[in-house]
Amino acid sequence: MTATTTGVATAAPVTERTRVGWGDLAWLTWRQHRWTILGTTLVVVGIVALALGMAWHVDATGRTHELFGRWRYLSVGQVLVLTPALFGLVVGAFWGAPLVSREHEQRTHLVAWGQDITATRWLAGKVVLLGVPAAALAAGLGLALITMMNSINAVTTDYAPFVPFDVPAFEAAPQVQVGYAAFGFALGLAFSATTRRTVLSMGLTVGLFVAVRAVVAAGWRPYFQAPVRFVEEYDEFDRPWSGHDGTWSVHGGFVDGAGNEVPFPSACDQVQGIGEYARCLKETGVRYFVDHHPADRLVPFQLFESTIFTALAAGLLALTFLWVRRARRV
Amino acid sequence: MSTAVESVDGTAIAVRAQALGKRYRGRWALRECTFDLPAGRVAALVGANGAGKTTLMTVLAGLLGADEGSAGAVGRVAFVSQDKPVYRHFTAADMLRLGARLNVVWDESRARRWLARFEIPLDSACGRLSGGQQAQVAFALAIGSRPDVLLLDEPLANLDPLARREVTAELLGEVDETGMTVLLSTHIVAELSGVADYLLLLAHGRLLAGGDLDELLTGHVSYTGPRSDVPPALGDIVEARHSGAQSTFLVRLPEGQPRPVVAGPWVERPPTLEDYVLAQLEATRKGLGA
Repeated sequence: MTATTTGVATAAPVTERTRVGWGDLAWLTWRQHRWTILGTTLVVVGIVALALGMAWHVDATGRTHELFGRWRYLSVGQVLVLTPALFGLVVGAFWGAPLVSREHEQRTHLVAWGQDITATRWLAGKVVLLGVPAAALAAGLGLALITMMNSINAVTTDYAPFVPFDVPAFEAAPQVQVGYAAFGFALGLAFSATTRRTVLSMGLTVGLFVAVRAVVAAGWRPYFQAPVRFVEEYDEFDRPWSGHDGTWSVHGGFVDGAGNEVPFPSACDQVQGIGEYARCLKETGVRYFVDHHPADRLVPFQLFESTIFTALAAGLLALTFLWVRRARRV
Repeated sequence: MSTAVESVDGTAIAVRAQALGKRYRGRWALRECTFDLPAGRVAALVGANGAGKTTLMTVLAGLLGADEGSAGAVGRVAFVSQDKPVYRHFTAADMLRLGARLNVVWDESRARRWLARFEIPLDSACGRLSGGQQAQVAFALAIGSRPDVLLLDEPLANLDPLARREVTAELLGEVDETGMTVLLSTHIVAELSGVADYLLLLAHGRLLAGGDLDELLTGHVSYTGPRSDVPPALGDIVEARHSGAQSTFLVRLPEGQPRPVVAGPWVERPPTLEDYVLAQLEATRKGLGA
């Protein structure tokens, strides 16, 4: 593999090296995706600035009123806390889903992979150079919103607006956000490589991302670990089980004396008034129970959720690499 | 891919295919394809539409794996596909930068010279260039990477007649300067005269004929004369055409024997490349040859 400079016409020397480096892939990635990267970063930085600004103002004044005229911090904050739920979706649909399919649609994969670089090395470059910034943005966004939520909670004495196990606070945690971003990116990329159609893969990515997130959040998360059962007489039952003490109640109902779950006793159907009600329940030997997760399960649950999505992402990435390497047509 | 390939008689081989086969969903696009392309040649890959030319080039370029047999090229390969793809948002200068970044060997001045030769603006987005201009950017990228083997799929399609001639001339100039091997596919045989010196003829995914163009043509003869069922001299009939009172035969001469002399009403002439290619393709369609 030798090439010698010949002729007077070649003024600039012929450059030769042993391999294509990461700097070269970084140049290509930036040149191709700079507007996507810049646009996403700009929006994230804006949200982070807003959240941190609010956190700082709330910390300084100890109040959640005043800014934005009649809007209260809380309402602005309640809109902002929805953004982490969307970020993984954005990464999947706009970063992952067009990545390979756009090359196929414009036939430019023949340009990129026809140089001194294999398709898998090109793909590895894109995955690392786009995936790591996406994960970093997700973590930053989550961190800023956690900071804001903690600040608002700290000054709201009568109740906590943001409950740790509730969806916004639970899912904004950086460790969870990184998992969602990785999953979104890998899901988009997998559809991109297999369908080779950008719009189709964007649609499939959005659909499946939402479906998987919903199934895990609603169907699996409450049972990451067996809940702790708390049983009490109905009239003694006055603890705030809605989770403001940091616990998460996932299920509640009635048990008989032996501890078996029973339906609401029909004998007490017609009873009026709380006191009568409690007495009726006591007479029929039925007590109230709540299945809940203690507050100290928060971080383990978040790590488990993150592990689920990171593992899914890893599987999808492996599939994508295999698919690209074993392409049956170009 | 850089498989060391050495031919038996000592001449360097640039591209080698051995029993190469490639299948798309059960249908063979390429089958039992075996050839050696000597280094430094300009080879024409000829065949009807759907004969497997693009598939062969894609496999040789390393973009697609073979299902059977093997294929390899010596040294670095550059491939310009039929659609001459370029990144629409890149300028021509960006495309050259891409070439410099993604290749281990890069000759910036050679690439720029190609663009200057065809007056391609360096600073406007490729998406705004015409199809012909985009093709020139794709060629400049391939030339700049200083390949040992240059694969061009239908290089002259969507170029105007003048540009075709100029591209051909520039290409031959590059071959002279760098000694690279070129394999170019086309189904327009008329484009090839004076360009190619080696022929690979594909039909229905199989290699019909291959070899040095001069040897192939001197090994055949075309007879025209009165209507007859047999040609006036010995040899394998590649093609027989009869119209009215006239018959034309393309005959493969027996090896190692002097060219027979025909007389009387028969006229003998060496076949042109076009005669030869068309006769071969016609023969496969009728199921005679191959």
